Amino acid sequence: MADHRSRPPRGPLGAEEHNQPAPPVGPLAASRAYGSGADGSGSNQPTPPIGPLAASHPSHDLVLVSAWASGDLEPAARSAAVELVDRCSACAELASDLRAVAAATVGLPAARRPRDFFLTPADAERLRPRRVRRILALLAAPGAVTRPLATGLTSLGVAGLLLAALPGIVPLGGGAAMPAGAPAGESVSPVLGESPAEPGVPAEPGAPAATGNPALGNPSSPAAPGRSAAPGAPEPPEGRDTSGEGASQGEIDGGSAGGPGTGSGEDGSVTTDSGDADPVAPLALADEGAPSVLIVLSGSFLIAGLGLFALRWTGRRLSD
Amino acid sequence: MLDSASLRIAVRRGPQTVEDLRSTTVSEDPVQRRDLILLERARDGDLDAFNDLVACYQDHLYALVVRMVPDRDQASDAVQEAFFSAYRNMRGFRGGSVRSWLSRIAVNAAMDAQRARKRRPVQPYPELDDESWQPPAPADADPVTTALTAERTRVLNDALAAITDDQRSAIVLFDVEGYDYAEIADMTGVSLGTVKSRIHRGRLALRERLQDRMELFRG
Repeated sequence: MADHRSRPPRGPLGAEEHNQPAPPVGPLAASRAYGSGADGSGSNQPTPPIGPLAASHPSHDLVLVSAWASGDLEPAARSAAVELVDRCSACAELASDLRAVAAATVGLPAARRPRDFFLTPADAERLRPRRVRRILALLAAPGAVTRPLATGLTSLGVAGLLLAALPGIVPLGGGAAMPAGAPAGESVSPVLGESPAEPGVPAEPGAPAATGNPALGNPSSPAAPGRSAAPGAPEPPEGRDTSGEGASQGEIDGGSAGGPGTGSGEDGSVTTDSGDADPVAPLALADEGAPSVLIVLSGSFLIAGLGLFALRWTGRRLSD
Repeated sequence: MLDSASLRIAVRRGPQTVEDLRSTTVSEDPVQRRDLILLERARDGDLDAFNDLVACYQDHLYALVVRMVPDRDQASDAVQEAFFSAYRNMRGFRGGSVRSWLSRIAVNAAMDAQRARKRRPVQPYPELDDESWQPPAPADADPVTTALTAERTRVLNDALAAITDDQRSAIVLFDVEGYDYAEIADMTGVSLGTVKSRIHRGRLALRERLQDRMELFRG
């Protein structure tokens, strides 16, 4: 049997350890003229005798009695339990029975094992940790460098993504809004791959600030008439929503205007028919909506950091 | 607390450097020190050392698990699985008592077996029909006392099998195995208050099931 039996007796068997009075035992308690707890809540308010013994016992707090019999109660709750046991003979008998059951449980004989549980060499070979588990255990070790590395990478990734999300600071695929009231000539951001209006062609006075790419191809924007004034340029179909489709509009414009050199004529889009890039193109996005370098890097850091955390977690789970 | 390096010093220096052994962080409890040395040797690939640990603790673990899983075959499987798990993860041992570490693994294996038993219920306590389950009576034992003891053990085991798994585990760990509340909370992964509640309610449930046989247990 286990060597726990050398431990000193406690709780269920020795209420005196907890400075608790031993509860009255059933038959003796039944002969005492107790009243029952009228409120049934086991509170420490004294309750007057109300008739037959333990009439309201089923409504008493039996868990409180059980805890008291185990010696687990704080002083405040203990007084309530003592009050309950003193006034209800059934509760007193219950406490006595619970102690007897606990004592019998402690004295249960140990079961005899039916066989040995030794490991065979084949078991050992099968159970020997494999390389992956060893690597995971190394990664999950308490002092491993993976923890600060994972924290750093995750922080860098989150910070980079937050920075990229700030409008007007870092290029984004979706484009950042320019401040309202900016001159029309500045409304075309080089970041977005739009060259300024053609030299010599003044920007239309009073043109509202563009709001990123969507304005480029939006014929309904106030600046659109000026840009789509190429001769022969067809009007977009009625009701066709071309907002946010600058490239499509550029194709329409370029194809219909037949202007040599540029794909979008006066729109000043990035690419040319001959494949020559606009001088600002290196800073620009190849495709509308493509992520910037910062976003890609930040995302990579974030994924790497979270991956390291996941590996550490897996390693710890396997080693437990 | 033990760390691997200090233990390695203790193992390599051998018994002639007793003073150095005492100066290390290895426990002065001879049983615990023996366990740690065996475990360290097992970590180095010595299967016999691990089987020495098995020999030391298989009785304890089986007695623990068979109370929590009232089916001898499932309890045996759970104990075997616990030793497998201990062998597989012995490099994850972070010091302390080997006995507690093995017990924690066995409790987890027993809880897994309890969950499996719920999915595939079997006849509870077939060992009640097994005469070997009864404790051997002393030579000078009174036959009436022996019979009463056997009957009390039988009805108590029956009642234990009838309460919930959580309550039974808590009562077995506390009353039968002698762990304290904090150790049980650590083993079973619940709060201290939950452990106490399970024990108190479990005893109430036991008493309710023993209501008609309480004369066996009263003075």
